[in-house]
Amino acid sequence: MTETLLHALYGWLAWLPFDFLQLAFMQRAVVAAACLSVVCALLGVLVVQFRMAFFSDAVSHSAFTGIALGLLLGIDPWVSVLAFGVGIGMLAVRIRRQADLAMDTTLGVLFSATIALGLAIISARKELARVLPGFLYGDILALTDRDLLWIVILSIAEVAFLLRWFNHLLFVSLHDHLARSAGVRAAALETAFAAALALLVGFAIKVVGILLVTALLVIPATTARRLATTIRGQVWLTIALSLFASLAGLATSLRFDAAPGAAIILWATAGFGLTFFRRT
Amino acid sequence: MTAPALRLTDVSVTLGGVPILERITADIERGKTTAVIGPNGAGKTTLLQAILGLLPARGRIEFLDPDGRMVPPRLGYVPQNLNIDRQAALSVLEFLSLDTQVMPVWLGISAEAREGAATALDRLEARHLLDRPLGKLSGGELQRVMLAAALHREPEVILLDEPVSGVDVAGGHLFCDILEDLALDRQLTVLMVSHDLSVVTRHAAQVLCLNRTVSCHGPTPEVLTSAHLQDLFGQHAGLYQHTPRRPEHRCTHHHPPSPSHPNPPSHD
Repeated sequence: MTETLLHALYGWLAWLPFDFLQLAFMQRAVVAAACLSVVCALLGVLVVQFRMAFFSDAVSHSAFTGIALGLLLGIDPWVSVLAFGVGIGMLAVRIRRQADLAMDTTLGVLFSATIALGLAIISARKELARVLPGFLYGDILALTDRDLLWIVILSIAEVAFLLRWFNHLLFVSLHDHLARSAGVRAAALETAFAAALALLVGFAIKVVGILLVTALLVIPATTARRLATTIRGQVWLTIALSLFASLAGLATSLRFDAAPGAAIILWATAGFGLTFFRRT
Repeated sequence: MTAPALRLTDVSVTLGGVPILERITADIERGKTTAVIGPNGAGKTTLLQAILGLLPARGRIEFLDPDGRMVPPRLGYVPQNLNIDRQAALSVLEFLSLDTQVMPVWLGISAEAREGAATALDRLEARHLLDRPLGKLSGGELQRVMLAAALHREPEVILLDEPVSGVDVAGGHLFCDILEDLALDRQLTVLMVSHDLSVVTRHAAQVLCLNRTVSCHGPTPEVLTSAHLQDLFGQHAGLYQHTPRRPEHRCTHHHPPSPSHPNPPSHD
């Protein structure tokens, strides 16, 4: 059913008056970018609110270790990246809550340890280093139908999760104790949010790479936050900015033969820069 | 005689191996305002957090109905540090709807949630704040919104942690006056931590003196004496005679005005 949906989308895109949308790899890239833009926008609003930019950075960099472990153990590196990222994310929340540590301190420890483990494995097995650049920079233009299918499924699952729990997550991000006193299960929700974020980061690495994935989450949401006065305004503006940056980035990368991930982030950053010219 | 709304029996809290509260035993009277006073580090906020279930505590914390039967707690809470992110893009209406509707607030606010939020603010004479950004409110306005949020859940017991800190004197008394009227209307039990003894004298019917353990507990005029305050805060604490600027204020019906006002202790 999802495949039918994808082919319907491709057909719809082919009707648009842009030559580049006749290409199959561009059709896949546009659908992936649109899906991830919406999910990154929704999660990004909460990432900025929770001040968890460093969290997504740490999870994305833990992909190094996930890849190394996957290759070492002979399993698909994408599976090991996702599993390791989700594990690290949930562990960070658990340690922070149990040890009553600040999130940045907890991540500082976990981040260093996971990077050290990844580097130790890669330095001992030199042949693993060859596959790393693909993960570092991502390549949305090289997505397969199978990749896209997973991205669509992930997007549907994440949006469903946020439709149910967005209000409570926002409440916890505003004031943990207040939310808990109102009956919100803050610890469970924060752990689920960390897992959802880690999963998204794992998939978004395919599009923009390890180095830029946090930017995709944080920049549009921060830009919208500077302009909006309501959460409704911020969310919709973030979605619009994220979609615009993704599609403009794809078009730019095709025109100038530049890395699509980098072009997407540059468009998003341009939007952020423009907010400094607004009248306050 | 009706049972207390809240009964604490041998409640102890230890954090990181350090005992913060030791064997707290007290009955919190139904439908009255009880103030918790004590020096810094006495465990006042810890006590509220233990009652809220935010911290692990030993001993028994029981919520009772008027017949003395245990009932599930219906609590409201206004926290001490209202360090709500001032940059957050969030209106008061959206904030008040976060736990009253499942639909994400970015998809819109249901008519029911909007009406509920407006009614909650109406009780605090703050309906005009409904569409204002939360981050742009003054300290006093934010306190009223937080109280509206707490009352929105129709609590039987409301816990306030330093409710008027960071609010100007007039705003603080207005807040307490409104709260007191609401408490009278709804037979609400109020447990309020405050370092401001003028607020305690004027608004609390009962006082619980805390310094890791309960050092005194009873009606305000009986507890707020120089001897008790010196015992609690040290030798510099005491009371001075004070002629109220307003000979008759709205709170006098709730408990007899104290003939004296305490001198705020230098340690607190």
